[in-house]
Amino acid sequence: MKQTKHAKIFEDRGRIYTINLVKGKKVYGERLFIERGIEYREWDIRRSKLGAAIKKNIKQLGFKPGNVVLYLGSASGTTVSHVSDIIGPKGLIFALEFAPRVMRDLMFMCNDRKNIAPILADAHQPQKYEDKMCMVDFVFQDIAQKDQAEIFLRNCELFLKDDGLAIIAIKSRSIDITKKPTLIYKIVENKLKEKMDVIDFKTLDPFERDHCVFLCRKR
Amino acid sequence: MKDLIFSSTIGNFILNKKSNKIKKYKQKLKNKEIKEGNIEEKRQILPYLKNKDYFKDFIEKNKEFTKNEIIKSINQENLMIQTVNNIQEIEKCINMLSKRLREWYSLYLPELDKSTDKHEIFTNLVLRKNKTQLLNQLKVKKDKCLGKDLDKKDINEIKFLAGEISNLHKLKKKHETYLEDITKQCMPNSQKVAGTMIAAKLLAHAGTLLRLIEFPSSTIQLLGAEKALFRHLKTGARCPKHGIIIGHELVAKAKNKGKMARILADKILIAAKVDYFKGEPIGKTLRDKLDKLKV
Repeated sequence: MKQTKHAKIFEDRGRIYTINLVKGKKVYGERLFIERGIEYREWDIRRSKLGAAIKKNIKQLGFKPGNVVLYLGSASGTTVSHVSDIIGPKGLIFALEFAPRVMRDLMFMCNDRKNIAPILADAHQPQKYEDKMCMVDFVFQDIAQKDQAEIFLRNCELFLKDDGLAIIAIKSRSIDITKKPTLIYKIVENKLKEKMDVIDFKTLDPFERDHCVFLCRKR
Repeated sequence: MKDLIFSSTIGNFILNKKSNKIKKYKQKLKNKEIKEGNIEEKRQILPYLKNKDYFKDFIEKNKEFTKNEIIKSINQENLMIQTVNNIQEIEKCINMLSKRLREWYSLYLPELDKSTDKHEIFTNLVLRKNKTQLLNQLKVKKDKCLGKDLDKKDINEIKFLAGEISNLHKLKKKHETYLEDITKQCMPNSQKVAGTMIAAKLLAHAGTLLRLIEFPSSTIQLLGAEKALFRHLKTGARCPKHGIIIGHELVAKAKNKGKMARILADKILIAAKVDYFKGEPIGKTLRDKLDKLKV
């Protein structure tokens, strides 16, 4: 088990792992792995875009143990569980999701992991949930919406601290199915550049088809 | 300059604009005092809340709030969607098991398989009648029958399966009456225009009634034909004319199915909008208009 360049993320034979925060509990049927008394949880990169981005060697992750993270589009909490592992018991995640059905699964996870604050709201309107939030160190967005870049910018504008980092995962197929993904990446990049600095760009092939991630820094 | 009051789930905070200092606001808020600040002002308050002492409050309060929201979000529409989805799944199960039953029973009495296409009738015949009765009914002489005489033990096993299939038919019928009942409460107008099953299927596709009525009628026309639609958009193949609503009797019997589907989708959307906003009943007049059309 080797430490990667990102804090609290480990690598072993091509697979990535985080240290399990809740000993002996699986979240989504992943493998658990014990080495020298420490329990590691495998990060399934085919089910998690953040995991895929790490595997594709993204420059920086943007959050450390003890940070406050806003996670837009948490779904049932596959990736959120790993972020929760990394930031540890001293950090805090705001997990935002719009669909009540998957929020139910997330709530069960919140009972085990004491660093997640769920928010059931529409990410289009940050002012509707600003009273449930505080300033954050890092924003991650994984929402397959047509206007996902605008949603991302709006949330970063209000909640992200100055010079804070943020990652957005783009699904080109839900922005416009008729256009080529590379063209859409360009359009999105230009939109992001208006308000933020784009530091890194990675496509997620072959783990996720027609997806990419942007690493941005707030001005 | 006045002070800005920011109300959060973990308490109220007050920002003094002159000194840029923030304090917890202990007094009770009056409605008048809550003001909307601009983003700049909010960004002055939000870092103050990023304090380890407040984290536990955030988690507790947000969990409580989310729990209530989840419970509030469950309504009649969810029940309708579950029911209609289950009906479709039961149909699939019945088809699958009935095929097996036909194959299995054909070892014993192959002539019965060809006699009826309806799974329900077939199942009931297997359950209720024995070989001699069935041969008499089908007018086949016993020495000409292609099946082998099986032991009673073997036939019983087939009959158990037939019994289960028959139970599934009963369950489906119960579900259908229940669905009709709740659709009448939830979407009475759409039910009159589209019929129970189609109204419920459209709702299941959209997820909620609100999402359904926010669609344009052309989307409703093509709900359920997504694969063909995206094939059309991507490769320029011929566009689909109808999705779920092809099952509607008016579309099925119309000569120009595309035209009828378009008109019907339009009327369904009007009815659904009336259902959502609980307006005056309009379903019957819409349906009468549709019936008179000659397309």
